[in-house]
Amino acid sequence: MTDYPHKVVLASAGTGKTYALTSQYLKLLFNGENPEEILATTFTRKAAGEIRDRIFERIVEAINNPAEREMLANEIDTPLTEEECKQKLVAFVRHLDLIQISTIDAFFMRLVKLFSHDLGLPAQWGIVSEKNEEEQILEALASMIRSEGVAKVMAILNGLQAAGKRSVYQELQNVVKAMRSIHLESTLEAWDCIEPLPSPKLEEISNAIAALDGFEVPLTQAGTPRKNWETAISNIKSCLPLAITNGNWKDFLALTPVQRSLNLNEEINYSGVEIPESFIQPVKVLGAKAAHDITVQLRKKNIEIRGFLDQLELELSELKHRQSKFAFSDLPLLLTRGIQGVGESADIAYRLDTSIRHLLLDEFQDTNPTQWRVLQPFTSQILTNREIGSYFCVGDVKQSIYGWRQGEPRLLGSMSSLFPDLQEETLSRSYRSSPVILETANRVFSNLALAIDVIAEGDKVWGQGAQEWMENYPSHQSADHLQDLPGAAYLIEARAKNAGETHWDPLLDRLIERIMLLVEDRPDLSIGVLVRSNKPIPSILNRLQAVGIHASGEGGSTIDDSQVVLHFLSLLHFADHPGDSAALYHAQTSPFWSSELLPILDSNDPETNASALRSLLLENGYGKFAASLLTTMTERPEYGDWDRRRFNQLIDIAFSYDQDPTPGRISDFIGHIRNVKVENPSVASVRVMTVHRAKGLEFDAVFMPELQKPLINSRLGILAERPDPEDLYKRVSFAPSKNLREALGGTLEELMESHTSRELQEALCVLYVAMTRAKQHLELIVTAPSKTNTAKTYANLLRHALGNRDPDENGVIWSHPTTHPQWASSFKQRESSTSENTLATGRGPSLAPTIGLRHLQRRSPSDHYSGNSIHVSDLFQSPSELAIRGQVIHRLYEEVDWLESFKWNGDYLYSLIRHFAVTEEKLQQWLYEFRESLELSSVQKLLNQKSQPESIDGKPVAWSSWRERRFCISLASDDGTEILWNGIIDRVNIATTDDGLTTIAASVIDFKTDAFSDEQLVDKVNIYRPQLTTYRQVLSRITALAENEIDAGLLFLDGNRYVPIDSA
Amino acid sequence: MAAVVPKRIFLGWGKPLVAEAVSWLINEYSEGFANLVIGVPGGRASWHVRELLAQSQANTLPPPKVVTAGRIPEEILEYDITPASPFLQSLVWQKALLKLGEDELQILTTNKNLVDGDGLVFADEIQGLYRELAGEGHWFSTLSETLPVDTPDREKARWHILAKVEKIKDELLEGMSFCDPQNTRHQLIEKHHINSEKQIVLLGLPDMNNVLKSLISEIPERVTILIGAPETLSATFDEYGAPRVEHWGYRPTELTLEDWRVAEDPAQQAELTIQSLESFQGMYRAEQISVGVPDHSVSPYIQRKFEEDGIVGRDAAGTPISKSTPTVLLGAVATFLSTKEFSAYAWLLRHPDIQETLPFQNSATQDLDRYFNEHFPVRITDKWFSGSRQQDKERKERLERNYEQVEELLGELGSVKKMTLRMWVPVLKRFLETIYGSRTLLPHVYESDRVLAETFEQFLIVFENCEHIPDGVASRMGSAEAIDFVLRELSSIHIPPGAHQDLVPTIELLGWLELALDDAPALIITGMNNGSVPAPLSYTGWLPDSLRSHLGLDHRDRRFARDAYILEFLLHAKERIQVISGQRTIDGDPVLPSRLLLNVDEERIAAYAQHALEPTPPRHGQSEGQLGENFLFFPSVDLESSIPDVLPVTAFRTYLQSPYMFYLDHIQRLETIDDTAQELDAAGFGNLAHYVLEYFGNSKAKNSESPKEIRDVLFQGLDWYCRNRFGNNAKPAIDIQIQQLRHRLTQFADEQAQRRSEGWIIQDVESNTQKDFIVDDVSQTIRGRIDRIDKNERTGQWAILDYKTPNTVKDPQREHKSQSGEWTDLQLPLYWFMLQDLIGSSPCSVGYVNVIPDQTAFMTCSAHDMDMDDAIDTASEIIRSIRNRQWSALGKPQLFGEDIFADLCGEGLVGGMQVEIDDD
Ligand code: SF4
Repeated sequence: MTDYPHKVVLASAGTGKTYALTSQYLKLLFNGENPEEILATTFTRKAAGEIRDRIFERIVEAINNPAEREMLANEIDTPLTEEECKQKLVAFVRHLDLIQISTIDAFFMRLVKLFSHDLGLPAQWGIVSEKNEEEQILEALASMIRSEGVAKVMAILNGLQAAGKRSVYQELQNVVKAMRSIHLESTLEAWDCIEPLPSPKLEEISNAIAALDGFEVPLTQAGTPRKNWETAISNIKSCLPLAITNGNWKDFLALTPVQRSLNLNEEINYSGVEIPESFIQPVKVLGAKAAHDITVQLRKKNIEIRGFLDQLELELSELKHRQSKFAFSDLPLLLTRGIQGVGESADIAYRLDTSIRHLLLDEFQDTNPTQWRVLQPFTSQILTNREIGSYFCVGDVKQSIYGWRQGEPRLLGSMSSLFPDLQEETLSRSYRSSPVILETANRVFSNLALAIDVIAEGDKVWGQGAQEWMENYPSHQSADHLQDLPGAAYLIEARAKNAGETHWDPLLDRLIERIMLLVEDRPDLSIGVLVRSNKPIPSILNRLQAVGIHASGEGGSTIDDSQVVLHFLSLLHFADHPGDSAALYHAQTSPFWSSELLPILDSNDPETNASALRSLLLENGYGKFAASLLTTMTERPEYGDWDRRRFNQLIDIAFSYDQDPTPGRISDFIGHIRNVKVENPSVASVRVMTVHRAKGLEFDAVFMPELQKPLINSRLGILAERPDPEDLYKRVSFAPSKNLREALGGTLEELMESHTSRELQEALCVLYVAMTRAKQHLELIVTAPSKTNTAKTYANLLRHALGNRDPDENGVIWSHPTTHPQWASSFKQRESSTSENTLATGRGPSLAPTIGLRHLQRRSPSDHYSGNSIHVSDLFQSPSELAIRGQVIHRLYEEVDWLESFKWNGDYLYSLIRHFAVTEEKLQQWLYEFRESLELSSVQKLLNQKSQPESIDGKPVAWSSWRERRFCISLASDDGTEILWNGIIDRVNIATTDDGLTTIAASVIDFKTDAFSDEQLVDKVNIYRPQLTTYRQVLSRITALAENEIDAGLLFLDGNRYVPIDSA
Repeated sequence: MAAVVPKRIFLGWGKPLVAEAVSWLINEYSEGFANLVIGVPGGRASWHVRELLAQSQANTLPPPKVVTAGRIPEEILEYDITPASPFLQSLVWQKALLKLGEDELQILTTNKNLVDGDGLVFADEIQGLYRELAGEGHWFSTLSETLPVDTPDREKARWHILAKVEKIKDELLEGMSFCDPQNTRHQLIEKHHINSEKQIVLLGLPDMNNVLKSLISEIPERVTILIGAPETLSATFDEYGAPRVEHWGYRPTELTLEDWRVAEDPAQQAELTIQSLESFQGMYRAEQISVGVPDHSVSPYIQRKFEEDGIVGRDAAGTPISKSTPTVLLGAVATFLSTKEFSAYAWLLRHPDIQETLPFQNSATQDLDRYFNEHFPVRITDKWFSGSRQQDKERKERLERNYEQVEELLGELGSVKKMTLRMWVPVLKRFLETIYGSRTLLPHVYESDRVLAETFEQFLIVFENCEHIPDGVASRMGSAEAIDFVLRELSSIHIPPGAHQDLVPTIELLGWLELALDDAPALIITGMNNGSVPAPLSYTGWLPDSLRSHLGLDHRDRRFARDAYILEFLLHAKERIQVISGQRTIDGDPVLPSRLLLNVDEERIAAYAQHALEPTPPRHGQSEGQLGENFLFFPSVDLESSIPDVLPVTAFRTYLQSPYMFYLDHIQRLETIDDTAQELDAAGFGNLAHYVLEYFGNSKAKNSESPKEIRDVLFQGLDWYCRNRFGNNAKPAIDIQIQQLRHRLTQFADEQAQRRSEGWIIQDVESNTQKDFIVDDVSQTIRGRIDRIDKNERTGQWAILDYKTPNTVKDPQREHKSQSGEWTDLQLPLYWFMLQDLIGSSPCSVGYVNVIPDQTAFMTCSAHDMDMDDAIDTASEIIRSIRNRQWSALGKPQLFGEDIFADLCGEGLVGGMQVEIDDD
């Protein structure tokens, strides 16, 4: 086989990552590899689809266009003819169902499905929705509180400094949010990483206290005790008792002279004098005691929390099994934990029905170690044995912004050292951005260390973090064909906020103003407004909409931003909670109330109305219910196009929600509507989204207005360190508050440093990803600092990296030297691709008028005797013995042609009725009764051939019988519609002419085994008459006799009565 | 063996297949069909055959039996022993599995939970696997000989264990005098126990299984296979009428690109379906058109689009029975019985069929909601709480009576007995009869009645199956388990759509395999996607494709050939055909078109592949969702509403924030309620604290300077109150919250003792105060409940205090005025004003007692610092505005997330009020 080099490709933004990956795929394909043996994974569904599409497109282009073919041939080092390309495409398409290009989640899903029994999963399991996953956690917490007891949970809350806080769940959920994923990825010992620092001896401590007691406060030049020192000493005295007894050192360590004595910063003076040794000495002893206490507490707290998380995980796992619902993130865990022994690649290959010989891993920097542990065996098998296949991974350490999902960019970095066979390739030529953009990025990131040095005031950890980041930053260049592409890049300042304003007010003003400036000339440009968090998106969208710019979010938004949706939800909420007068008011003041719903909402009692609504929902489902309101909604002037679109989306969501076979509470549906995100079908030219969403996208222009955010979130939850990127976290601890932390050093300081460094790296990645989304235009918008602002924010980083100058009259602090302000209007307008924006008309498709039904109505004559209506109570009567007896007797009469020729054979007859579910005794009895009934005069009269007239209308006739005559015949009913009659006639006596060719007469006999009194007889006959009439109609059709030439009657065996139905 | 092979008749493919087949039948069987069995793929086709026969001139002859192909063996073979129903088989498989040793079971599944329903699902899977193999004459017990040599040990071990299970299963069935229809069928065929003279005609069965094949091979002379293809293609079908893989697996499709549209998502597939209909240009009536839905998730979108255009989409798949009213009811009953949880009761009580029976219907759910929010019950217990107020007592009574009624309805179901399924059946019937017995259904008139009648019919079938389960197969069980059992049996059942009776344009939605036997001249097939057509094979974890193909089971290539044939058949048989594929599934996964559509030769492949990637542009462009003139949110108020005689002090704060919110709260007096809380919210927590502090304020300990004494009384009050309100049945977090409050009260005790030692004496607590406010010569009563009034015994100073229980300190000054000096609350000034008679000119401070975690802070300021006169003026101004009905300004209401008030205020609406963004 062909020898393929194993490759790791480090691809900066816009350098054709997908292109490189698809090239590799095509190379394998054209070298004759089987598509099912090539596994290509990425992280989003969109990207997976894109890779798949690109592969197709490139082959198609190679067929259609010789130049493209040439290029492809070069790319894959194989000469190609048009014919070969066609053949390859035909072959590829034949394997369409086997190709493995998917998200990594989908691949894991497939593995887990194949091994679900081995992994102990419930027989029918599924993936839990995001919202339900939160509910699972809540439920697990609740059952944990129940099982652990109040005291234990209180202890945990105390440990979290949450004693007395109102919301128990909020506190616990915060822990879960911050720590669960780390807990799952850590060793038990990791949580016991805090070595308590040694404590000074008791004697030393009391000496120190005594020394401070007797400490002589330094004097002023005037000879009076220094005020600040006095206060400090008194503060020390007041907080020491609590510190010594309870270990609560927080206040003590917060005092400035204490901090300075402990040398936590370089300052050695306090309040104008050098801190005397007689102060420093005892403070250092107490500081040591503090450090001891705090580390002991911290260790205890860490272990406690680990216990809590262990327990939670148990509860959660049990719950997941019980509900048969798992999260995508559970899959790799299940696989790594449960599949030991299945790890045999032969076993996996057997069930996959293919071995995986080629691995292509996209966005490798986002892989987390748990995922990697599943992929690793595949990888190392390939990498350690050239015979097997090939390995290819591509990623960019600079774009690793999924730390919160435990994405581990160091895996990418360490690939080539783990596997020396790997060829490393770096791509830095951008096929996306103009030189202005890339030079701006180059400038920011090459000045990174300098800028960080300024804002972090020389902090080494920050400096090193920046340095490390820069190592992965090759200078970026535009591809040749983009060299002349004009562009613009600005650092812009918005005015400072006024009192009572938020930061956002001036920022929004400036943002809107700047966007309008650009859009005015070129409404066709694609513009991305990129932010850090979801929160400001609605406001930005709203502001843009308000000035008439169409804008949309990315990755969908929930639909509850429309009046009509809220009205609808209130209506539903009311149905579930009729006591909610607010919901009722909201629904009642909406156009819905008076619409089609009015007939069912006819009561003054909310409870009755709500119940009627629930009943309607139960019967129709949400989709149909919502759709039934569409007309009202479309006609009402209260609602606009926006509402119409949203309501249509609501109906779609509702219909698919209805596919879930088990209905739940209405509130579940409301929750679903509130949570489900809908992609905007038409992409507006201005899109507002988080940087995370923007990954993989590109825009003509990018605006970044949320730069006032700190680079590193100051709220620290937990510190965790994973020394080996492939392995688990080896040290985990709570982050103590800043003062305490600084007193401790050691493990904590190391953890803190690695944490800071990681966070900083990620922050820089976010900035990098955002800036490199731009093709031609980039605006970084910062607020004017209200005071001197030294915060470690994106804004300050950019100011220092780009040149910290005062803004000009347009607010421009910096612009790229070759910025071409009018590039947009001078640049040729592209053809507008947006189609006409007309709302779909309600006009239906033209069909020829309906004239008939697709199916005949199906009826059985026996339907008749209940008069078309069913009494439900009748249904639940157990099939009585009487009914079974009737069936038995019917079966036996089927055997009787004519009595004269009927030979009794008890065994044979018994064998016919043996299968009826009654005792043998009963059957024998009925057999006996049947035999008796044969002697009845009515039976004799009807079933003796001799009893039948020998001639009719003077013509001699021959008699024969039809028993259990089946029929299936279509007859026109009175109103002209055709009905498919389907059934069985018990018996027909048929008279034919001697030659048997012409039917002269017929009589329908219906055996009845009911018991009845004489008074009931008339009723019975009335009930059965329609049935017999239909039989007669059917028979008339079959025999071509007129209906009045056919007799029909009921033979009541138990009463020895034959009643012709024509009798009154 | 000189093979006699069944007769194959090629009916051509230019015309509707069933119609062709029926003409052929009428010709061939002029004597009548008395001995004829016709096998077709599904129920729908069997009715179609019957319909055409019933309308033909042959309708006077005795009709043939038309059955689905799977039933043919039952028509021809004669069993000596009763075959076990599928239901019984599952139970026996489960029992057999449980007889395995733990080590052995481990090899099949490490799921420990096989005793209950989950085990039955697993047993069903094993049974299905068994059936799949049996269809081709393989058995677990013989499989090990047939497996390829290189099969991994892990797999061999599984089959080995399954062989053992199979043996146990057979023994169990034998012991109960039942047979397994699968292997018995094979034995009967082998022994040629074919006792019938019947003739067999098979129609539209391109993939019959081995049972049928071996049956046919026993009686080939009596079998005719009707094939929808021209005679010229006869070599491309095998002797059983199956398309040969060698031909159909490679025969390029004749589909043209004009007839193939590509949609982005399911909704657009529906859109394109409408477009396709339009492309027929009125040539067809609705009843002449069918829509294929191989991917059933597209179906609701199509039905919805049809509905907009006045067309009924009749989904042949029907609706799952799990959605019918009685099924939902039984589900709710089972959940309630097995958990006795309050939430399950709340769900049960909301079922319209239950609610109808309740004595206090008109408050049933409201009572429950109110009760829930007071007492946070977890389970329904014997004890319903009541409070001291009359309305609480009445509510308790109603709740109790309703509960008694429900218990009565449940009857024996409510007992804790464990019985066999058979014994539960009459109990279940009685329950259903109690609820539904009095109804009279008109299934031919009302669709909902028809669904109900069909549902009951299915219930009765399952009940009957249950009654025939020999004792000892299923263990005795409680009522909830019995219901679960019945519901599980019902779960896969769908209620077929009703026959439409009115002349409404109706288009049928059909599954892929139903299309070939559907005679409509025009067809639109949606969902032609990879993964839907050909449909994926089942039991992939057990039977990889290579094993399937090795064992001669249905496999990938065979399915492809079959479906390729079906598509080509359709392309020929239909006058018009349109095919739609999508690019995304309902879950948003990217998806490729079916291989069938790309099954073309090298000349066309590039064009087809390109086509697959390009969605058809929407013909009416989607609306951009422009905001019309009316997009801005305006609160609407009813200016006729009357103003309450008495206004609470809190109303002023509300008005200052948002006049509209004031309107909703105090004019309309709206409240919002649900039953989802897991713990006390801020107001609930505050009320709890208030209650305990009131208890303290009325106790002797209020004069104590001992923190311990104060604490003891507080705890006493807390414990007493909580016992009476929550018992030991409250949601788990409540207990913790009580402890959290205890923590706060501990701090309070210390601070209170300190304050008492400074001379402060509690004068009054929770003091209800009213005062008339004269504005423009008209009086307005204002009412307030003042948490606490202190007087200092040493200084004679008064203090008006309000308890606050947030997580962090609140400063009275900052709560009352904004940074720019605007009033934001008037509570303390109004209290002060209302107490003027009491206080007179004595010095007075006003403020908060912050009962917060880790400390309690008395935050007060002198009344004069509050600028009382200005506050009172502001209050007058507000009263004036209220009287002027200035209620519609939105202001900045304080909203707490997702509640209905936020909706009423248009929070988060496009064009409405925006959530504020923090600076960080
Ligand atoms: S304890 Fe009470 S007063 Fe308090 S809410 Fe319950 S029923 Fe009403």
